[in-house]
Amino acid sequence: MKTLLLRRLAVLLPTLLLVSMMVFGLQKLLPGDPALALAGEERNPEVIEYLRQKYRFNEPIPVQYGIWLKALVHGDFGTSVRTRLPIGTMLAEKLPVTIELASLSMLVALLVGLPIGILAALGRGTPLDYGASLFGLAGLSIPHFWLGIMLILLFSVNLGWLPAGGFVPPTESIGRNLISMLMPALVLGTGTAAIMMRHVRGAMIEAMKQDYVRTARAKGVRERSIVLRHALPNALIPVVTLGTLQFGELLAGAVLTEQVFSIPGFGKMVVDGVFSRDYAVVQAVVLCTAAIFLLMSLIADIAYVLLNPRLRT
Amino acid sequence: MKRIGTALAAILMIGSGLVSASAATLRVGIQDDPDALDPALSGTYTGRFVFAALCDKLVDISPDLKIVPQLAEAWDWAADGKSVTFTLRKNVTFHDGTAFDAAAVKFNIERMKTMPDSKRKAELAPIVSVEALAADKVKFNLSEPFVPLLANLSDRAGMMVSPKAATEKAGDFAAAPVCAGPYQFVERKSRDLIRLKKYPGYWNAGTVGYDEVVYYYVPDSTVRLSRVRAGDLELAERVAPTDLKTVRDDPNLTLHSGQGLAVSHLMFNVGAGAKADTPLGKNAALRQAFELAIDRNVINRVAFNGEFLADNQMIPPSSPFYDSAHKAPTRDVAKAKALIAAAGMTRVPVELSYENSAGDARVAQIIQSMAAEAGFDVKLLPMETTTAIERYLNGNFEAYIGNWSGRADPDPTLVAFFSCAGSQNVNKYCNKDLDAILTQARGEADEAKRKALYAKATDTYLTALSSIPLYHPNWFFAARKSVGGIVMVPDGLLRLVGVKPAN
Amino acid sequence: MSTIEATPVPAPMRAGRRSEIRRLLREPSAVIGGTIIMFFVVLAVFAPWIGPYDPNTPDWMAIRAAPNAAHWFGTDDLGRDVLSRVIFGTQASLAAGLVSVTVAVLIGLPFGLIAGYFGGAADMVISRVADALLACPFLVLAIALAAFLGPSLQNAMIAIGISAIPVFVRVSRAETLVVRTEDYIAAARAQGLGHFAILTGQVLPNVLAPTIVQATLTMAIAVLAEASLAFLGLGQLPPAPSWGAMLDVARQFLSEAPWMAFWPGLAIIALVVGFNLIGDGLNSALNPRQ
Repeated sequence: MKTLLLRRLAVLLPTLLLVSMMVFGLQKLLPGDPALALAGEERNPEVIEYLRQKYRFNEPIPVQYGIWLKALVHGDFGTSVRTRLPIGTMLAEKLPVTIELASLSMLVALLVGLPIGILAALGRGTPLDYGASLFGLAGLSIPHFWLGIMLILLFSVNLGWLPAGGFVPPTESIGRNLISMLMPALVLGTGTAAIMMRHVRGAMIEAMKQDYVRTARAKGVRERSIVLRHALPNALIPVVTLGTLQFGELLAGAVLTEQVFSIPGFGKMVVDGVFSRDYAVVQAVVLCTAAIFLLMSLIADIAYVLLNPRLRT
Repeated sequence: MKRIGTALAAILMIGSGLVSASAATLRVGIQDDPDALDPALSGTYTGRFVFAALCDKLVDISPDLKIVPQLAEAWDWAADGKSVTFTLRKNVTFHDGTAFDAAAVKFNIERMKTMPDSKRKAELAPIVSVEALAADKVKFNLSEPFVPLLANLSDRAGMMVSPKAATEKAGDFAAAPVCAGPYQFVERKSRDLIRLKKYPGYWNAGTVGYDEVVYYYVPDSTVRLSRVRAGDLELAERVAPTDLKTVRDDPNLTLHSGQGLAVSHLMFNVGAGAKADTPLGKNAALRQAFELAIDRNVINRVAFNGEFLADNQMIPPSSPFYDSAHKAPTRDVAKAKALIAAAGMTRVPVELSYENSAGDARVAQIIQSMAAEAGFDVKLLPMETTTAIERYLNGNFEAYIGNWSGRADPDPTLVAFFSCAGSQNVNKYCNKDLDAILTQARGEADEAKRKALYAKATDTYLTALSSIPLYHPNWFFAARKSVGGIVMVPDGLLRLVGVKPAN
Repeated sequence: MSTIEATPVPAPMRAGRRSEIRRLLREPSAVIGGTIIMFFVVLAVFAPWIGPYDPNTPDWMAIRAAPNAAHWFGTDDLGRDVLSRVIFGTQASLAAGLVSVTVAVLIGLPFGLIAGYFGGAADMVISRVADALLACPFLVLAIALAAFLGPSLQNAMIAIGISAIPVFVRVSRAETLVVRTEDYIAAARAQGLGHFAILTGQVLPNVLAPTIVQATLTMAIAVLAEASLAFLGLGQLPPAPSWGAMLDVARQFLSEAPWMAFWPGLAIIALVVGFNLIGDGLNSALNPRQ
């Protein structure tokens, strides 16, 4: 267990370093000089040259990377060239928003995916099972942004029940915060719910075939109790792993959902960053997302080992 | 379903109940996240929009584009036009409590002229030196007579920041700006909100109607409007023309509209590098044919629901210097074809680049379709913002849909686009005669004579057609009826002096 | 080919392709998915004959017209027929699915084979790079690449393809690791076959099945990704129609012209469902153990 953890941690850092190098390299390939975008409508050549030097856009890429990395080691993510705000502060503002969105989406996924998956497994071959498969297929196939648009059309434009977008911080009003997150979480959670459902169904079918289920049944234990006490806990093991992995995916997948609902989170920050060539911002966000993603898969591995008695040594 | 609806409605009611508790807050939805909040560095419209509440200027412009006093009560031009002396308002303080005086003006002008990344250098270029004659008297010495200076000072170049704060905070000034406007800075969450509160020491404090102003960044125009309708915001700037009917039909809202200074125009590369070597770049008659092939009214109607102003000049009709003698030609496909034939061609290829915004994308496709009827094969090349700006500045385009925010005075616009060394003359049009006219006009203090000079300039650039102006956007704000005292000014900025809760 | 015939061919291959196809045809999901994809292929190929109007010709007199007898799906903001644009839009989406996945397979598969077969330093480097790429959010990577390459359908396809490479590196590497220990590989090596011959002759055929399954499922993702990029203005150049771009425009007219938003979305879903169904069917047919 300990060796596994250590081995995985040892890989984590080099991978992150590699991620940062690739993102850095990729960004420097992007056309469009950020100094020009920053120089304003008048675009004085002197100002452009000054900006290039100030932000070291002129230096060779490895040098720029070194400077960036050195600052990062000291906990400094740099400054957004566009807003001149420290990126560390921006991350601290945006990350909770996206984590809230991802958590609520995960909640949606669990509330929808678990029961449907279990019921579909128990009623294998029934219309309910087919309905569940259909839902699973739809959840995987509907583009987030289209679902978002359709929900806005229904609940905001036609019924006027929900705000069409925007974000209310929980510090302002928890109720209105949840209302503003309702549709985005629903949209982002649907795909995950579908994946959850499929896995729960599979794991549940597998679990119901196991010996202990057969033994319990032979002993005359009620079906209800068999499902809840014996099959489900075992079926949930891979689901916990999957859920942890999916949480990382949700953080990354929030990009378009945040775009459609104008939610000032990570996804929006990175897309705006790419479009305004705010290199340091893109770099910081991708690195954070990758770190969270890798951390989540590490946790998933650990959870898998811990929950699986056979693997525990 | 019905029960869910009732429950939701109940939640929403609770939500809105919480809102109305903080009654003296003005919540404004803005389309872009402003860039650096320092008048010397700012380069965005929404930045100026926020400054209108935060930073007073030496002078202001009125709805009819006249220069009116703000921090300066009066000004006096020297007879030779080479200096101007301002009499400053007394008892004005910055948000940090320090006094506004002639020394502060001198500091500010020098700061904007010397700060390495200042974007105000061009606007203040004619100023050679600033003399603080007395606490309330300051003299600007100019290198040449420069009438448009006052118009420049009515924007960011004339905004006064606290010298103490600017010196102490230096590079971090933009994170917490200190000015002398009706509201002072509280906090900023990037890509989210900017919060200001009433400055009790404001020189005109009686006109400040709210305790707090919050600017929310809501990029989507439809979302902005829906939040005003829901009562989440009191005002939304730049409502999309297609949404105006909704505003007009809503009994809780008022539509505030006004003519703007901005212009959208089709620039042809006539002299910048290899891309100028095209039939349209080399032949003014073909550009004339192009103008005849398009119908500005169709562009306005289809792309903007007819809510903008179809026009053929860079200077908008709201300006006293607009030349009403040069009317936009009506569409004439036959004549356009004849001109193409006269140039010895049948099909004329051209590549049209533009920044991929909703409006420009529509305009580009409409132009493509109309021009095709006359014989122009327009290839569309949409680009995301940063790439578009780079290509634009380098003159790396055959044709480009330019969007210029406009200025209160015609000089900056015309000089920038049509003088040989103009900062926006990226398509490299050059005519020494026009340069002479423009230089003469900026030194001409007599308004009638100045107007005649600009009429001559208009005639020149409309003949060369290095650029075909298409339309002027109008400003549309949607505000709740509860907001009173909104006055629209052509610069499209929301002045908060006098804006207060109605009834 | 003859050398390959001469060497012992692994057991799964011996079962023959015919039985696999028969198994596939017995999978209802594969049949339905295949039918959907065929439908879209027909739409794409015969669009000029099926589409009632030219998809790019505006009609200034019919701006945002609601669905009616002349325009079944209504018209868009420039008065173009939405039905025709949806039909012609199939071309961009199908191309995006096929081309980007082909790019990803052509690059990812060889690297995966090499990493799995040779192991050691090569595996180390390839796997780390693939891990790093996988840790970056797929769409963000695609957006950045597409922004770098400039907006066009071709570049969007390349960007998506590159972003999907690590998936195929992983799949083929994992499968190669399994195959490498099989007896027939040792036998082939004993016969004196070179690495290249073994890789292409023995390993590749066994890696192919899971790769095909993965490729089909990735096509579904690629279609969604292309729509997403187009939605952000990084896809097909106007005026040529693309479903994602149509949705981007439609979003501005949700209250006045909801039909503009409805149909392109439905088309995306149908196509993605098609690829997902085939993928599921292939998975059941080719990997019967699961």
